[in-house]
Amino acid sequence: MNRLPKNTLLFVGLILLTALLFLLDIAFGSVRLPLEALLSDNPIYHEIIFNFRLPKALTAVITGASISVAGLLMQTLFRNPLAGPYVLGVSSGASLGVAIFLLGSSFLPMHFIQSGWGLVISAILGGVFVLLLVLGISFRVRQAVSLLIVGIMFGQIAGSLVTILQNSSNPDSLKLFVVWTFGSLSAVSWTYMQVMLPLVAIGLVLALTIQKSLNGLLLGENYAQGLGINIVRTRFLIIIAVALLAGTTTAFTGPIAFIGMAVPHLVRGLFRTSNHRIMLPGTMLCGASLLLLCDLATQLPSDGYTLPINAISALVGAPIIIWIILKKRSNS
Amino acid sequence: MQKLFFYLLVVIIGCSCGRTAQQTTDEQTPDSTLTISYATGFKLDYFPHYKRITVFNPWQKGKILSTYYLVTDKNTQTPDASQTVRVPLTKLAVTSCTHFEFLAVLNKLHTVTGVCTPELIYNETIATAYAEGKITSLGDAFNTNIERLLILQPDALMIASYNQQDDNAKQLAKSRIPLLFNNEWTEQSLLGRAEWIKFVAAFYNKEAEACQLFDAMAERYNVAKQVAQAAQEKPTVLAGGNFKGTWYMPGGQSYMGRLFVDAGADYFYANDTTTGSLPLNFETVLNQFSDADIWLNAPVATLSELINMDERHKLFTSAQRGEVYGFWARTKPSGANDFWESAIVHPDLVLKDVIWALHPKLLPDYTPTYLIRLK
Repeated sequence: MNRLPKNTLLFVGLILLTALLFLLDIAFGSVRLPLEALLSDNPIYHEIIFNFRLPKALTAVITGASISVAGLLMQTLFRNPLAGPYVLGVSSGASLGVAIFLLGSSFLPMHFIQSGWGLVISAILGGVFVLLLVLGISFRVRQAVSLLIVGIMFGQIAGSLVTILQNSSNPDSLKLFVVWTFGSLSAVSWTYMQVMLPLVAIGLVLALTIQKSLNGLLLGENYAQGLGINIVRTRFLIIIAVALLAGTTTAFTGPIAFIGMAVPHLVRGLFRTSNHRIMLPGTMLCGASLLLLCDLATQLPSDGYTLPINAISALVGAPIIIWIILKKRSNS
Repeated sequence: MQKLFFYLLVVIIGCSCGRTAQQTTDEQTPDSTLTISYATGFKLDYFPHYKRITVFNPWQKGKILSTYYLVTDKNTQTPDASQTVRVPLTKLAVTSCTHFEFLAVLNKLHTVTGVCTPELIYNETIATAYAEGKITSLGDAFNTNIERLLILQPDALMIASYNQQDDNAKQLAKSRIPLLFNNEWTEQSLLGRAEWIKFVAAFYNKEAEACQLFDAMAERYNVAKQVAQAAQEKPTVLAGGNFKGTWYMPGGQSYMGRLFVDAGADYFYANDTTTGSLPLNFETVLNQFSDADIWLNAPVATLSELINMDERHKLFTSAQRGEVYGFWARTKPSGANDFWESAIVHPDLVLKDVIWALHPKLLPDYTPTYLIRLK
């Protein structure tokens, strides 16, 4: 009973932090706008704020929350602290889809290429394809760790195919593909948001509905089974949720490194619990604010360039992982 | 859940198909059409109150990439208001440094207000104006800074389409600033590339001047070409270099391959149909080109760098005899190379440079502009 007020306090703090970072992300961009610009009716300021910075900040919140929850689900499923949202090969599959689209588009139908959705659909198809393979295998292997290895192997295969495509591509298409792998939060327009938001929302709701089974899994699969949890069904739901969360966000923003792996650890440390009732909302808030912070950092260069979000998130996320490993060592 | 995902995908694909159907149809026949002799990427038609420029899709024959309606009076009615550009342009942002020389020869360089990757620009006027803060940097050409572009509000943004699927261009389109696709690089001949001067000139109402400049230049090119064709001996050539096992050799129909032939070279891949470059392995190249007379378009600027790059480059007769040439005459320490900038509008000079390397006797007192013999 004593714990509840502390957690409530933490949640209020996290909500305020996310809100503050959200506002900062809108206020600061690669062009310095006067503070009054937020309310001015100058059409250019209006355009920048409502059609560029607002969807970008929202994308940071949605993506940060989604990949962090996906990371948490994977860590719980595999009972492995180094699992992340992409271990099942989602991002490798998505990269393969995008690579086929950007580098091998000469054999794709024309109206597919010209529609604005081609890139997103290719990424989704690539990600879903790999996940379906993993899902199919999940019914055949008993051990979660085997599934982890299968996911990593599929990722490697997709990566090799991408390399083969790159080998025979012209430098301009290559650069376009490389830029995609840098990740971009600003690629999400309001039109894209209308598709991204519902898909991600379904994934988040799905994650929230299986918290009990998730808590059971923490005890080990045998214990969970003893508690009456259907392991195969839970696994299936987890993979679907991760597909929706990591797959959708990767399709729209490109891969975002390490955030999904690091945030669950931060939240566990913050709330000192592994209970998914606390972890899930905590992870969402923490992931959202961390990615907002990363996005603010991408605007640091003042000469017109912006840093790739994927690099910044790795710069922020990787030290957290190292710190966790060192801390585990010293504890044991 | 799987079903739901599937249905959503169907919905997405369905939406996207609907969007592509928007194509403006223009029933009128033009009063006249500008003569384009070498370029295949665009056409320019004149109507009573406006000019229409059509840029073709470089990857799909016969398909249109973009259509522009050029008006002098903003109240002029055109078939598509969103594609209407008021000319002459007074403020232009340019993402590719290959486009500056077009503006320079038309005396319109002063209209440039924004550029990409300013550190890679060779043009002195632009570099100075940037250093003085008169020109804004828009970041990387593949990841253009939209916020800065919106604040800058140029009349138009001149870009190149790099791929059928260009997400950056789609992002930029959201700014509602007209995107002028100057796809000179997709042309397969040097004259075709240079003829895009007519495209650029149309946005400044300077077509007559552009035609004059271009015709004179094409004349000089063709005269030089005839001189080279008359040469008794045709030296064999190779090009490029070995980079980590892959040697990119110009395809027979690429602008570089055609340049070699125009300059009177015997090029092994002259009859090949590739328009880009051929990714070859070292063995193939060595087998075919080890005794080639002249090495053109070397990837580095000195002989020692060429050997450092891959010591097996020594195996080629041309390297042993020092007959290696590269377009490194006009470079800056930052990596800027004028061969990628002004040479696009001066194909006659590029051709003469190569003739000078292949047939020194034909051009005895000639000083090359872009080409050097590697030391």
